[in-house]
Amino acid sequence: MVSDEKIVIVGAGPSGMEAALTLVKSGLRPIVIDAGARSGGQIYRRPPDSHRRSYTEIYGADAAKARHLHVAFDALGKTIDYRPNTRVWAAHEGALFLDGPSGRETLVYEKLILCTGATDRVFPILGWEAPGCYSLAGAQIALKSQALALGGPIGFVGAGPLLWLVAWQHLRAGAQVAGVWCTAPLKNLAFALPWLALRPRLALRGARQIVALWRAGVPIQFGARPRAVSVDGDGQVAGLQYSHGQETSEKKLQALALGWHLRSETQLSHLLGVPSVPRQHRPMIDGTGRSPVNGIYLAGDGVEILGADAARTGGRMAATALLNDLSRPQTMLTKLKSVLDRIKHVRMRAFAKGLTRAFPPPDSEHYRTLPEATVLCRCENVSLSAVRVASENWKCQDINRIKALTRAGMGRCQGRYCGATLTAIVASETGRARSTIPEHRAQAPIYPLTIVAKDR
Amino acid sequence: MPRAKRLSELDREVVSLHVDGTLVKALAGDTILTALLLNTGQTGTDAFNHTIQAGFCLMGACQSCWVWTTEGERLRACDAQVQEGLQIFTEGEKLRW
Repeated sequence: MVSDEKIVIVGAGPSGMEAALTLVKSGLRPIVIDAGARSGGQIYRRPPDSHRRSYTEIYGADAAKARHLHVAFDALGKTIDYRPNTRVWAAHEGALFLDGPSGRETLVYEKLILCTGATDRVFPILGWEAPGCYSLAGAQIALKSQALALGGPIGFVGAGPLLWLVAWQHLRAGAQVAGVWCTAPLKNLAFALPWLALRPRLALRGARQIVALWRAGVPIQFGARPRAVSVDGDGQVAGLQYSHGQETSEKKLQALALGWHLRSETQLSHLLGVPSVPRQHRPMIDGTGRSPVNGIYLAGDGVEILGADAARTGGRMAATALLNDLSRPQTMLTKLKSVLDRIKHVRMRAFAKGLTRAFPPPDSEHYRTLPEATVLCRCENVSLSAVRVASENWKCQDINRIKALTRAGMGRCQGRYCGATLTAIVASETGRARSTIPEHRAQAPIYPLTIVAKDR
Repeated sequence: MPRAKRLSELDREVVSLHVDGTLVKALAGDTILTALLLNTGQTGTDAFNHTIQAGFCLMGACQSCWVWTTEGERLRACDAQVQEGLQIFTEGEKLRW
């Protein structure tokens, strides 16, 4: 039997927290690695101790869930080895390479549950590199954990449930909302209704957010075509240019938040050799979260974007799969819960399919009309024209080759914020489906590290 | 120019820090990024075209809000909290070694 110390959970969002809770119930003591200062991940991110807002003010309809998870995880205390402010910057054959408050460390594991979560999936518009443009989740973090509006008025561009949620949260918190530009047409939402009806309460909550924004007089556009970000004399965001039909209008604003759903943080699973599902850019797992690589389990938005509730069931399922593989005894209740989780998970996946249909990423027309000067890679300042040269003139159709030739995706963010764009552009240029374009290969370190020479 | 606005949580202890040698007031619990956005409205400048930057993802993923301490340590402004007496520099090369 493996020693308890060798079970590691990476991530302390909803899936990592649930995985830890499940393992502790069976008498194990997992190590939980958290890049954040406190558990909760992004969705249930906690404000600093000095803040006094109530759970309802911060998490809205999810207040009870957030409180339940925070309380349950905090109650684990010393029954887990919790390591906040610690990042996994590389992984290789049974070892994780950590960078934390006490320096760097190599952690050998026998079983690993990856709950790495997600970051925003963003697509470029002309001028989006200007200061004052943020990711959608970034704007939400400012609101939740800093009680800050990144600008007033602030506009929201993209597609997906987060777009409406974050715009509505800003409205409710008293921020000045300039408008919501949803790039998905309204008819998509109608077609997706059969799937969305699978979770009627959640679908209704989203609908209520849209109605509340509309009733508050916030300009809302479906099928929006954002064209360019205008800047002022300082180079800061001053407006959004968008077209409807043949006309182009401009809305004055001070900040812009962009996001089209989320993208999974898959670097660690890639580095550890977990294969992707053929023709789908997501790590391969069985129905419970077990990967084909021995001893590696995955859960939450880091494997597939299904949201916080599915992250919780996923975390429990992955932990249960691990317990089964260790032949740990489980109570009838745990077994029953596990079956229920699997049923719930199927329903949540179908609902997520509906969301993907309702709120697709920008279509290939967006890329055909994108000005050549548009910056695709924010870190390395690589424009569309450079990528087009690589793709068209040099017949380069692999984003990893494009990265080598243009440096797009080679900068500080390691391709997190341009990978989806490069994939979409290669797909648009070659007429192939996005799912057939090979993904960015993960490279360690997956976060930039500092090298400090110290006097001894 | 600062663009960000506080919406609530105003009743917190005031914390003083120095940004590029200038005294800046923030509130306990603010991240360095919050303090910067409310004061100068920017973090550093872009390495290529020297335009100003003001953060992007706020979750420690995009790495565009780096600042430096007097010891030369690099911090992400979005995931480091302000502390009384903290001295930070928005450009690495402005450091006096």
